[in-house]
Amino acid sequence: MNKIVNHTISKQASKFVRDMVDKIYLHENYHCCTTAEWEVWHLSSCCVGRCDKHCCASNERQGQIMTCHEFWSRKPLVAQHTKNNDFLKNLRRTGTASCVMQIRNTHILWGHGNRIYNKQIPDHFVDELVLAAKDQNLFSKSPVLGLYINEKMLA
Amino acid sequence: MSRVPFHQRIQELRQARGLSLRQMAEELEQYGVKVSHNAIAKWEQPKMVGATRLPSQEIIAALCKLFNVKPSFLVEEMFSNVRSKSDSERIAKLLDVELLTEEEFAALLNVKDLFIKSRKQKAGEK
Repeated sequence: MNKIVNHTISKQASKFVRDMVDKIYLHENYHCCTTAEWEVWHLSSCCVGRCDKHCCASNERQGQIMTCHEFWSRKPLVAQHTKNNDFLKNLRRTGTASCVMQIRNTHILWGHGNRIYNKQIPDHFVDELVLAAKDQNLFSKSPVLGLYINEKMLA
Repeated sequence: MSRVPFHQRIQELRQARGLSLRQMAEELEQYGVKVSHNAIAKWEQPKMVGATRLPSQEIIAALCKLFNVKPSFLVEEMFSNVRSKSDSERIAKLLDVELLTEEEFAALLNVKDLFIKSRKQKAGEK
């Protein structure tokens, strides 16, 4: 099974993950964008450029901004970014998977079918969830990419 | 602490409600999803580790409404190796069970089973 972590994490961090899963299946999320392979959905935060929600529409895109759609629609880029992260392999194999990705901010991803749900991890849970995800080859980070989450970001 | 696999969770919830596979399929239809009793039977079949395929998001949502549970409770298996610190503390408190006699340990298990049975009955009444 697509384990999130093999570590002992705090009760609060565990609750954060569970709450995210509850919100995903109870439809407390919204669609961000669709690529040839994936539907990207967000919880709580959103990226600029593709989303027409108020928080995004009020921002202007500037410079070389990497949006969710631009990232997930570029297979070589995704492959390069996730080469040490088994998330997509697990998702394709079993239909469900999760991981932690650091692309400027740290996010937890939950995949089900062709949907990828994304939520930013609060700062106080980042260390333990990253450590736990690393242990399972379910962590990846990029020093150069920046997904645009609610505020301006130059790649 | 091991988590209850999805197939086992679904079967337990269905049986606690006293539903047959066909009845469960009919009840699910009231929540907007149409599945056959054969599909439910497949969900309840034990899977190899790492091979579980969950039903669609819509079906998970309908199952939660039917059984009045949270999605994370149903897909708990996904957290198979997530152990909260509170779980670890509980396990630590059980490390001295070896000191109990066989009879005392059996009595302890009976009490635990009664708690779980009671919870299942309450879930079935909802």
